[in-house]
Amino acid sequence: MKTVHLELLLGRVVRDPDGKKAGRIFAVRAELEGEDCVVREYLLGTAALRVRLGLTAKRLFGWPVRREPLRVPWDLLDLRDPKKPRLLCAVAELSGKTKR
Amino acid sequence: MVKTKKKLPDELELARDLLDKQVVDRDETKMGRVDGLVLELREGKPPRVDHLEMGSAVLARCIHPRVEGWVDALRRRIGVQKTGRYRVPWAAVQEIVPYQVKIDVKADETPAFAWEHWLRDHVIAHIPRGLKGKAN
Repeated sequence: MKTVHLELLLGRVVRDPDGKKAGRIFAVRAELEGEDCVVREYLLGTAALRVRLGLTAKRLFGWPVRREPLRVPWDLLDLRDPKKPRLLCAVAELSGKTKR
Repeated sequence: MVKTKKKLPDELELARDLLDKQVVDRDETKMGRVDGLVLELREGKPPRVDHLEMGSAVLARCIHPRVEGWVDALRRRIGVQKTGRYRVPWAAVQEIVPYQVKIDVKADETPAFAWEHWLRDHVIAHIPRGLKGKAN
């Protein structure tokens, strides 16, 4: 059984197949599926850190910043080497796919 | 294991909602914090949470794997705790609220209270007018 320690995954830099930096993993979204809790997406970037801390820029600095974290669906992140997580597509492609 | 209704949110942000949260047993006894979370990678399926981890070795691993080795060696030398990691299967998680995670175990039967049990049996029990023998 291949396992990954979440606490060691947080803060790791994710790169795409060309070696371009996509951001650091700061949050992991999961859902309940029957008895299991399954991962749906990984959130990258400083905006993801805000999500994790439950902060908003408006609360912090008094003005709203509409910056969304980069959302990586579970099937687009290769975690076979947890120290070097790799995207399975280009960053630009991902931004287009997941920006809300 | 007593079957009780689980109170788990449909969506979770794993780092925020689980890591470092207070863990309580079925009687609401505090038994430590969630120090680690292990995901199982499955072929063609999304990763799932396999178990939560608690213990000094898990915390030490976050600093450096070498520190984990030192902490483990120290634990073996002292010999009070049988393990530096206590694993809680996901199936035992009963409730997740913003301030704690409730699990369906009895804290006294887990390694979480190894030091307390050792002190009770080797120190408190020998204090004059203290406990006579092992307390239940």
